[in-house]
Amino acid sequence: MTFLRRLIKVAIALFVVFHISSTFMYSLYHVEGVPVLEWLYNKRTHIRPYILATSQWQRWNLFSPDPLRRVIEMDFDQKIDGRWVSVFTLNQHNVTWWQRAPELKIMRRMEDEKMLPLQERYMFDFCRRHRIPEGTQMRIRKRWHVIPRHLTTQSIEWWRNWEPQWKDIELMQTTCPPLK
Amino acid sequence: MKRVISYLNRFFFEEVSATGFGLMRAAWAFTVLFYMLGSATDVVRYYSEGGILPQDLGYLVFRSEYRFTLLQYITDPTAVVALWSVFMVCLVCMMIGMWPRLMTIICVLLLFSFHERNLQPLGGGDTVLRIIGFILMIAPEVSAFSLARLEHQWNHWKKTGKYLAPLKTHIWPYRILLWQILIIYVTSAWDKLQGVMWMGGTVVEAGFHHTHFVRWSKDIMDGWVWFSPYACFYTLMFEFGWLLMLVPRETWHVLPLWIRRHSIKRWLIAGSLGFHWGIFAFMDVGSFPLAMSTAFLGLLLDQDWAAYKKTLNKRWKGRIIILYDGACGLCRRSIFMLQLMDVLNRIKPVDFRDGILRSKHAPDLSESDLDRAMHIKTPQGKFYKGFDAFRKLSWHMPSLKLLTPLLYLPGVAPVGRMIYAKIAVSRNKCAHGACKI
Repeated sequence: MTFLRRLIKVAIALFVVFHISSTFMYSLYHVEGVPVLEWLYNKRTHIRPYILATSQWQRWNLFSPDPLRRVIEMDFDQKIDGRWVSVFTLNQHNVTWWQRAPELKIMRRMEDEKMLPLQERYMFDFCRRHRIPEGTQMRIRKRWHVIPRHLTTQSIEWWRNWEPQWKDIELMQTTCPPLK
Repeated sequence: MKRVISYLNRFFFEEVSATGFGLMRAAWAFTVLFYMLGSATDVVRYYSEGGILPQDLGYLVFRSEYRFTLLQYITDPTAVVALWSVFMVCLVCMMIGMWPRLMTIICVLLLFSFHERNLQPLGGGDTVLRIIGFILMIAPEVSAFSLARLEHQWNHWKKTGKYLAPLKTHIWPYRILLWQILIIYVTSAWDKLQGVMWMGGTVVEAGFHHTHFVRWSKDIMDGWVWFSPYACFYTLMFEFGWLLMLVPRETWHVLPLWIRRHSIKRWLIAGSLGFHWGIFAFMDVGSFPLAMSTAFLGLLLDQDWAAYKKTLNKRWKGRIIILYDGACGLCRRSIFMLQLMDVLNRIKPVDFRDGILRSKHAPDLSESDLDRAMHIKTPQGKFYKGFDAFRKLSWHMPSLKLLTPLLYLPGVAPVGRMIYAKIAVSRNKCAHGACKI
């Protein structure tokens, strides 16, 4: 019994060491120039199955290396009488406070060109929620501006005078699917 | 060799209070419940085949290997809503501690399932919740502050008149948690050094103008840009400060007494809480502040609870005498609960049916006076009874502190006194330790 207890203790201790090493190795980024970290980084393939299977993947680039400075919003336009009319803007003003973080995150994650199928899917969902009839032509426009990157702090006055320079681009066009 | 083994044994298996992990279990369930309920209207959109991410578009969002989620098999919108509802019920059970071990495992696995189904809405706070959920799932003891524990306590108290010994657990889950928090802060600080804005002190002023995050208007945020270099410096300092936790405690004696008599860990936790809730005041960064606060609960060990009690009891002397009816089951149960909540050790129950004790603590009160309501006597010798006694006691029970201001609202006292009087009269119908009210 004592032997078994000791064996369990050794197994637990080994697991703890394995777990903390794995999570550390999987969180390493920007290791260039530090040989030990580079070596550990290259060994990640061994611990990858464990980290992924236990959902312990992580990357702590919180507002870093530099913070996100691109501010985007998406305009949802509907073609009415041959003219594009903006029917909804996806931004912080038009989602509830409890949906704000997830919904704006989804928007940021589908803005790229390669995410076109996701943009279309989002639009289909929009049509469904707003009961827009089948065949209605819709489009998404992305509007964005970039907050300036300063290397030294600016005065309150400077920020008061700062105005964002909005740009926009059409992301995609589609037609609403049949309503279920 | 023996010394090494003994050291390793202590390092992994030292017995410590399980209170922190019990609290972390309840707080974790509350936080997950709060944010999952926030997405209640979007369950079908986020997680089902009829939503914004059908499985065939998954290649754009999630990985194809080592990914396990129940929602790979449960795809129908109605079934997804049903699973989500089960998840919510399990979270409530986990929070109050009904089958805490089983519920923790189910809830953590369900959280993994929902997160792995759609990574799009996830933020840093969600990652923290997933990670500490895993630690809770493998921790050997998570039943502190649970209904299950309360039931054991009650049965033991009924039999012996004593409380169970405080729950203990091995220290290794604490070590994993501490390491995880170190990873979060130190890798985050390392990442920040790779850019130029953190060292320039301009991150916060830029962040204060990102409309996805800020809570207040541009005019208000403009007025706070002076704060940016200080906040950037503070963030880097305290994030790297967590590295101090790697310095063995045995070497601290080289520091001056005024430093080493304070716990570095508690300072770091306090600094981190200030940081996270400071961000919360200005910016909406999702569940991150609450998730990190939840994680800190698991870092509290015996000496931290002792320091907490010592701080709160600094200006407190003596005990509050509670004169209760030892012949009534309801009163005994109430005293059982009050003593459980008396974490600051400020009350002393006295059965007024015992003539000697009664004449010692309340010589001017007759048995029939005391029979009408619970009386308390403060260390200053002042008496309170019934609802007023309960209200007075609530100041001394940290778990009731949130309720205390409500008890002073206009109208609450007369209603409280009425309800109390009704209960006090009905308690005489008690038999065999059970009361019908």
